[in-house]
Amino acid sequence: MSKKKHGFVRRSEDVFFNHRPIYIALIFLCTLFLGWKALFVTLDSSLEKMVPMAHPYIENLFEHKDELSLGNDLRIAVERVDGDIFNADYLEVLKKITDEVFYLDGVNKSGVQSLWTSNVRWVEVTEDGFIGGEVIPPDYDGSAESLRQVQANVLRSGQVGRLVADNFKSSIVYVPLLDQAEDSPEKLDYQALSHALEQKIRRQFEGPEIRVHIVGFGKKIGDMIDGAAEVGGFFLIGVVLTFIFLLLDVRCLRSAIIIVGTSIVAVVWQMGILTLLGYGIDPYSMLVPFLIFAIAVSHSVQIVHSFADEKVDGYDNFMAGRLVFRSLFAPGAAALVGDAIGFFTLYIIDIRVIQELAVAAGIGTLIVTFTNLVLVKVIFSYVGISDKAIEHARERRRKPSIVWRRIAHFARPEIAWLSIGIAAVMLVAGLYEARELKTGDLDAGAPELRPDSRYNLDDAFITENYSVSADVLVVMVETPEQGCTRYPAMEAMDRFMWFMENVEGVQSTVSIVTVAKRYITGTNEGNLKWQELPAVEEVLNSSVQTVPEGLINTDCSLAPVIIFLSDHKAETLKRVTSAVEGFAHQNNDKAIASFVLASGNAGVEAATNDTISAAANTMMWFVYAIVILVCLMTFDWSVAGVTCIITPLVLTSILCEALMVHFGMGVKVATLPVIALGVGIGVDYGIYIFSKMCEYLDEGIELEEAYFRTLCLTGKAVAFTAFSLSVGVGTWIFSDIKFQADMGKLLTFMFAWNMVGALWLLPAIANVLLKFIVDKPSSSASS
Amino acid sequence: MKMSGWKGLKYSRCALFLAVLSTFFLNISVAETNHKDELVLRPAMISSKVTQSLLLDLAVQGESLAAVGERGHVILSKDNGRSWMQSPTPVTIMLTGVAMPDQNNLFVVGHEGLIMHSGDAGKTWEVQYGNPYVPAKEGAEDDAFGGGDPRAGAPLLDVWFKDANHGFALGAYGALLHTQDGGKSWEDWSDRMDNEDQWHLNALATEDKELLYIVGEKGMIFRSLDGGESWQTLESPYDGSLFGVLVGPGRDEVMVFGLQGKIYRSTNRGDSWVQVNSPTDNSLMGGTFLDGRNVVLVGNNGVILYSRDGGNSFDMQQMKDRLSITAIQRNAEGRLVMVGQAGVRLASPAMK
Repeated sequence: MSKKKHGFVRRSEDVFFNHRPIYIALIFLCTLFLGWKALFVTLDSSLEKMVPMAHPYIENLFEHKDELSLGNDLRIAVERVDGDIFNADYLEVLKKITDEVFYLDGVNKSGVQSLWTSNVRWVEVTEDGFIGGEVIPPDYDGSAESLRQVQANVLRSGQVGRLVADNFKSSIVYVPLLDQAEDSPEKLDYQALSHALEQKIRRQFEGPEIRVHIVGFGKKIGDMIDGAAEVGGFFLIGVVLTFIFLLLDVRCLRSAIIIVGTSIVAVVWQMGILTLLGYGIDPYSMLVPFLIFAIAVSHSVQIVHSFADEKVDGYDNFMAGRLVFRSLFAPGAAALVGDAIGFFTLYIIDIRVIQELAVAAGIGTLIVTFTNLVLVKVIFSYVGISDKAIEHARERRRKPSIVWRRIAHFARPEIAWLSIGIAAVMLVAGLYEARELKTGDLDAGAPELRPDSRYNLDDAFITENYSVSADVLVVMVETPEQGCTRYPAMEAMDRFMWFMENVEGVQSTVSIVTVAKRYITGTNEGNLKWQELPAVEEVLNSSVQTVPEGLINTDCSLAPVIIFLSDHKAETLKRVTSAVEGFAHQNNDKAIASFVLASGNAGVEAATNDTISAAANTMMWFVYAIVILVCLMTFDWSVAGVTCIITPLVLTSILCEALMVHFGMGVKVATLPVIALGVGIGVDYGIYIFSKMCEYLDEGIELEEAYFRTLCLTGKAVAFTAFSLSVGVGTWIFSDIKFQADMGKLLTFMFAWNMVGALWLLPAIANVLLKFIVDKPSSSASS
Repeated sequence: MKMSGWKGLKYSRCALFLAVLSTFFLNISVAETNHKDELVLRPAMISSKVTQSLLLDLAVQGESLAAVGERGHVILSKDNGRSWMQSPTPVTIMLTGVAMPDQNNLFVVGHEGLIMHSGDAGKTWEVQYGNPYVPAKEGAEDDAFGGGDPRAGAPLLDVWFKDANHGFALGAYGALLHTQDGGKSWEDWSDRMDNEDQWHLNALATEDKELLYIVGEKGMIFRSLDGGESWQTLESPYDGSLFGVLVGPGRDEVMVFGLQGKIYRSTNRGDSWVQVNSPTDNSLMGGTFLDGRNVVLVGNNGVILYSRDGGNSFDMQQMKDRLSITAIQRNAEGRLVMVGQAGVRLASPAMK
C-alpha cells in the first residue's frame, strides 16, 4: 500500500519535473482561456435557485405555479410626511408611481393594485342591494369635494390596513412579479429591477413631502446582489493583507508574488470553469473565490517553508523543488481531495444555491492541486527564493523561537491529559449550548440584510403601519373540477380556517370562504346573522360569482387559503405547518377537498428549513466520513492518526454551533455551508502537522522533540495561514449583507480555532495514543 | 346594482303553496316538519379565541350572561361578563339568538333552523329542532319538502322565552315557531301572522311578556297583545329592513330601527310612528333601554348611538376599530356588555 502510493508520488514527480516547460505552458494557456471565460461570469439569483425544488411543498407549489401567485411580489408604500393621503398632490404622485410601475420589467400588470387601479373597489349595501365603484372615481378632479369622496370610498373599501395604512399617512402600490419577463425566456434580473425601483420610483418621487418604502422578494434579492458585489472589495483587501503578511513571514518578494499570483490563478480557473458550466455567482457562492484563494495560499505557504528548509540543507533549486514535491504532494493532495469531496457533499442539500456552491468549492479545491500544489513547486525549482529568505530560514532553524518550545510542551504527558480534560469540558459545554441551535431565520424582516439596512427599515415601516403581515403561508385546497365552490369543500375550508386561526402564530386567514361570507352578508343587507356559508346550492353559487383574482383557479379545482403569520421564526413555521398537516391528515378527501402545503414566502421558508434540518446532520456525518476516510488512506489506516486529526475538528464544529447560538444565528442556507467548509479547511492543518510529525517520529525522535521540529516548520506555516486568513475573512464582518457578515464571523472563528485545535489538542492526543502511532508502519508521507 | 341571494329562491313559493295544498289534503300538519335528525352535528371546537370570534346575541339573567355566535359558539359568564367559559355545543352551525328564561335554562337558535336547549346552564345540550338543506339526490324525484322549502337551510334569527316552557323562535322566510313544553315539541305558528310574502322576521321584544312586537324585512312590524297567541300587522313607516325593536319602560313607548341607521319611535304602541333624526347611515342592529330616558343603540361599523331623552335624539360615537356591534345589554352592575365582530366587550363606564 505504502509502496504503491510512494511509487505514484515518484512517478508524478517525474512527469511534472521532467517536462516543466510544457507544464508551465499548459497552465499559462489554460489561464488565458479560463481568464477570458471568467470575464463573462454573471451575477445571478432567482427564486427557484433558493428553494428546495424536490421538497413536497415546493413540488406542490410548482404544480400549481401558473394558477397561483408564488408570493413573489413587491409592496411600495408611498408615505406623506406631513398629513394624510387625502391630498391632491399626494394622490397625483401615487398615480405617477402606479403608472411607472406598469412599465417595470417583470411586473404582472393585471395584478397591480393601488388606490388608482380599477381592481380596487368599494361596495355598500342599501335598500336596493349592492352599490359599488372604484375608490378613486372616474370623475375625480382633485377638488376638496372629490377628496372627501375618496376618503369615504377608502373607508368602505375594506382596504384600511391592506392598501391603506392604519394611520392614513401612506398607501401601498402592490406589484406582483413574474419570475420570468413576459415575452422572453430570460429570468427576471432582480438587480436591474432593484435599480429601476431605486431610480424610477424612489429617486424620482421621494422628496420633502413624500417618502417611498419598498419591500418584497425582488427588492431584497436586488439589494443582496448589490451588497454582495461589495465583497469583491473585501477580496482585494484580503489579497493585499495576505501579500503583506507573506512578505513579513518569508522575507522574499519573489515568493510572495508567486504565492499570491498562483492563488489568483486558481481563482481565475475556478471562475472560468464555472462560467463554462453555465453557473453564475450568487450572493451565497460569492465566498467561494475567497475560500479557494485561502486554500491555495495555505498550501503554498507550506511549500515555501519546506522549500526554504531544503535550500538551507544545500540542495539546488531543482532538487529542492523535487524534494518538497516528494514530501508534501501526498499530504497536500490528500487534504485537497478530502476538502473537495467534503465540499461536494453539500450537494446532497437539495437547494440549488447550496449545490452550486458545493460544485464551485469542490472544483476550485481540485484546481488548487494543479495550480498550487504542483505549479508553485515547479516555479520555485526555476526561480528559487531570495538569499534573504534562505538566511532567515537558517537563522530560524539555528535559533528556534522560544514560543515553539513552549507550545511543544503540549506533547508532554501531564499537560496532554490536562489539555484533553479541558477539551472534554469545552466539548460538553459546547454541546450543551448547541442544543439551542435553531433552524431558519430568527430575526424579523429580511435576515439576509442588516437590521438597519434601508430594506429592513422599509419592512419595519410596513409591518408597523399595516395590519396585514408580510409573512404569508398559502395552503392549496385541491378539489375535483368545478368542486372548489361546492358546499362540502367550502365547509371544510371554513373549519380549516378557524382551526388555523387558533394556532399560535397565526394572525388571520383569507380564502374564497371569506369572500362568500362577505357577499352573503352583503346580499342580506349587511346583517351579520347571515354571515354563514349557505348550504343551499344556488345561493352558494351566487355568492362566489365575483371572486377576486387568485382565490380560485379557472376550472375551480383549486382554492388557496392564505394564512397570515405573526413572524417567520422556524418554530412558528414548524408549529403552523404541523397543524396544517394534522388537519389535512384527518380531513383530506379526494372527492371533496385536500389541503396541500404550501406556497407563500412562509411556505417556501418552511420547506427550506425542513430540507436544511433534514440534511444538516446527514451532511455532517458525510463530511466527517469522507474526511476520516481520506485521512485513513493517507496514514495507512492508522486509527490513532485519524483520531489525532479529527478530534480537534469535532471540537471546532461543536463550538461553532455553540457560537451560532450565542450570536443568534440559525442553521440556514447561508450558515450550513460554513459548518462544512470549516471542517474541510481545518483538516488541512491536522494533516500537514501530523504527517510531518510522523516523519520525525519515524526517524526515532521522541514525541516532544518531533513535535517541536514540526512546529518550527509546518506549525509556523499553519499558524501563519490561520492568522492571515482569519484577518482576511474577518473583513467580511463589515459586509452590508448580514449573512455574509455572519459567514465572516463563523469562518474567522473556524480558521483560528482549527489552528488552535491542531497546535494544542493534536499533540496531546498524539501523546496518549503514541504507542499506536509509532508501532504502526511508517507514514506514506515519510521517505 | 341589485343582487339576489336568498330572494332568488322565492320562485319556489308556488311549489310550496302546492305542497301545502297537498299536505292539507293528505292531512299532514306543517308543524311536524322537524328534520333535526338530518342536521350534520360536529362538536364546536373549544377555542381560547372564542370571546374574540363573531358573536351575535346576548342574554342576561342576574349575574349570568350568555352569548352566541359563529361556529356553534356559546359562551357563558357567571360574573357579569368579566370572565367567560365556552360551552361544549354539539354543532358548528352559526347561532344567531339566545334566550335565558332562568339560571339553568338556555335556548339558542341558529342556521339550518336549529333550536338547541340546555337545562343545566350550558353543560349539556339537546337539539330540539332543525330544518337543514338536503341537496336533492341525483335521479331522485324532486321532493316537495326537501327541494321546495325555502326555509330549509335558512336561519332562525331570534328566540324569546316567557318562562322555561313557553317561547317563540322566529327567523327567515317568516318562520315563527312556538313551544309550550320547554321545546320538546315546536309548532309552526307562521300562519298566525299576515305575512304571505314570507318576509324575514328579525327580532322580538317585550317588556311585560304580554305585549309583544316582532320586526322584520320590508319594514314589517307585528304586534301581539296576548302573549303571542294572535298577531296584528302594524302600518309601517319604512319599507327597508328593521333589525331591532325596543319596548320602553313606559309600556306605550316603542322604538324600531334598522337598515341605513333608520330609527322610528312610537308613543302609542306602534299605532303611529315618528322618524328620529339618526346621526348615522350605518345599519342599526341592536339596543337596549337603560331606563326611561337613556337608550343605547348599536350597529354596523362600530357605531354606538346614545340618547338621554328617551330616544328623541341621539349622539353617536364610533368604535375605533370600526367592527360591527350586533347586540348590547346592561349587566347586573349597570355596565354595558356588547357583542359583535370583535367578540364580547365590556364597555367602560366612560362609554356613557
